[in-house]
Amino acid sequence: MQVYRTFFKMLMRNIASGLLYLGIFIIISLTVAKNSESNDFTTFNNAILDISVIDRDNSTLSKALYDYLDDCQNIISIDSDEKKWADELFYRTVDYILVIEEGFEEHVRDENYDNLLTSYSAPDSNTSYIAQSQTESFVQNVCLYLEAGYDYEQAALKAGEISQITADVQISNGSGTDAEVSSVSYFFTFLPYVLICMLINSLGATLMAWNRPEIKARTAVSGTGLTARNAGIIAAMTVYSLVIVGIFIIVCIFSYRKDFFSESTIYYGINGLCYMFVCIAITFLVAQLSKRVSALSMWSNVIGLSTSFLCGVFVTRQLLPDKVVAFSKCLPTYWYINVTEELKYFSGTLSREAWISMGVQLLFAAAIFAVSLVIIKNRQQKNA
Amino acid sequence: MFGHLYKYRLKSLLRTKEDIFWCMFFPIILCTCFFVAFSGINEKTNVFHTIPVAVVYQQDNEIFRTVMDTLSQSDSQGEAFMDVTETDAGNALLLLHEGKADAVITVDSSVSMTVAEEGINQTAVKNFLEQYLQKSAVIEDAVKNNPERLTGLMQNLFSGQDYITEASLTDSSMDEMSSYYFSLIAMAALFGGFLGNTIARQMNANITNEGMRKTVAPVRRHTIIAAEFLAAYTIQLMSMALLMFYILCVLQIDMGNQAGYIALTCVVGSLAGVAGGMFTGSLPVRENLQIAIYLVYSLISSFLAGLMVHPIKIWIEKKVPVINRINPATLIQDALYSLVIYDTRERFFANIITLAVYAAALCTLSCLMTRRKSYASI
Repeated sequence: MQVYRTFFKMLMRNIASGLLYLGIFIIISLTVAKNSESNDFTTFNNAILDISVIDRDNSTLSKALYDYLDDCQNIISIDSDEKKWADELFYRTVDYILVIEEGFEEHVRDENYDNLLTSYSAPDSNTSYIAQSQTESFVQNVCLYLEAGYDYEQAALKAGEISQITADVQISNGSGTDAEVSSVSYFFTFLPYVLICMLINSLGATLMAWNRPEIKARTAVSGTGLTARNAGIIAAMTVYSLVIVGIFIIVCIFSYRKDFFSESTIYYGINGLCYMFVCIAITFLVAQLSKRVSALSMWSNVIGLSTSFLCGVFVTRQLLPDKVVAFSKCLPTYWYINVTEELKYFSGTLSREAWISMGVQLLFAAAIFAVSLVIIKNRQQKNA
Repeated sequence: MFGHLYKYRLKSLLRTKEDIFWCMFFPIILCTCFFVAFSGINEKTNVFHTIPVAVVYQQDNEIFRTVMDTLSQSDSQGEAFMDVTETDAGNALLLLHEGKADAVITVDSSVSMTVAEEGINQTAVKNFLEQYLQKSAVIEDAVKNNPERLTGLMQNLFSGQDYITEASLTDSSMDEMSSYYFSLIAMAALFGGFLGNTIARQMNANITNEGMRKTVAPVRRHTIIAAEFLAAYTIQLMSMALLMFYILCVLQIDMGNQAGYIALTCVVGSLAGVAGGMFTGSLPVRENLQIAIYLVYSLISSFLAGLMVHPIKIWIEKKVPVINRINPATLIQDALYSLVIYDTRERFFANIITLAVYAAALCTLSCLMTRRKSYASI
């Protein structure tokens, strides 16, 4: 108990820097979660593309083509300066740019198909193909009606009419992956990076103070044994970490009130607690290995960034190379993300695999603690 | 004296582990993370792959079967539009739910499709079916109203006439993920400021012990400033060279064949970084606050250049373009970006000149703030 109380007293002395880290990481997690929410690489909402149409003809036919594309895709306006189009395509703010050239209507009427339309897209873009084929189809339909003997106005009208013919599409929900992803999931997916950086930076400094020779010597000559000392430190770390996780959950409630109160949030919480123990264990180990407080930010960035990138925190796992995913199974963050991925499409019951994933995280935590304790014991024996 | 000061400052800076970590090793670690995470994205999201489709014929339709056979054949680039599996309804749904088919096409009196989720492949199949139905409607109309024109119409339909000219704005592969590497190089250049910050701080007698020693040393102030600045700049250039070697030779990221221009960007960018750090290190505030100010400045600057959210640069360009014209990280990022995207060098040199002016201004201010300081006698 003495160790526990002393640890907290020391923590309180460093509370200012802890609060600074807390504030920074809350802002980062909310910003990145918000960005992930609006920029989920794996889902294409109705696969509607952002396209731009530059109408240099301003004829009846060019307007009919514009209206048709407006019905199928999302037309957004861009700068008329061609030099800026490359930027729009590079950053994918526009998937496809179509220029209806001057004299378009006249050329179609004269069956002169050169220089009718010009398209621009990013090389190898499979999204632009859709807008391209829709445009081709519309112009071909006009030409076919002209060939079928209709006059120009009727052909344009008929092409507009048949463009309304759509295929009957049914959704079969067998895979269950079409459900809407709750915004809470983005917040919890980002939690591993925040938690590990936060705990190493704020708890690490206090832990390192316990490794100072004079404090070690004082503890060694007191009635407190090594086991009791370590148990007191770990208990204090756990309580502090619970407070941190609690603050993050409160932030989550305020930010995502609509989605927060659901059954899946309980499982997100349990999973978060399992990962919290992993972070405590890593912090404990890092504090044993570091010689200077300034090294903590290096450790936190190296561990936080590498595990987050490798395990699917920043970039969804489906987009990672298969070899990377296979390697990431050796890291606890992989098992955390396993659960959050399942909870994204939560259907009422949590699978056995998800519970096993949480168990694996706890095993990782125990293993890392064991390594730390072995290091402490070895050092003590060397110094004895 | 200059050589002596330069040599020992160089040695001393190489022993400051924290600064060396942030300038030399952190960008390499972050770069490795980017490489691991982003190497599959372009392949999985942008590059077209054959769409697996299950087709169920509840009624025989020879025309549709012929069309499907044609679409299953590889095009000139060796990639077929669809990979068709003809099967029964039950097995087709199984394939769909196992993810082995993106769509199930059912052919009876009409054609319809079943999908498990929305996506770009599903939209492409839907688009194909709609075109098939629309063309069928045109032919039916011709058969009914102008049968004598049917031959000409069919010739037109299968003529393979292209109505659209596909043009290219650049020879670049336009891999949007490369912008993250440009932003990272910008961040690495600005992180050279940590070295600048350290040397400036250690020249201030009211902040550090080293500053006290240097102030009373019988050496001209501008000699110390020049030697220390050059030492920090040398280490920063070494860090950038290491990073560029890692990006270009180890990870083999395509940044175009513009080695000279890339090197020029790194040289000027590093100058801006070290100058920025030196400026904040000369501010009359506490040591921790100086570091915090520079950290916040470099991170915000990198954020605005797209290090965390890459399209932010173009959002800023549309809303507040002046930020892109003065933000040092954006200037470095945009210089590298313009090398890859544009054939002309106007935009590149505009960025480089602005950066050079920015660096010169900060260097001048830092020197003015550091030299001829007098401290009250207490």
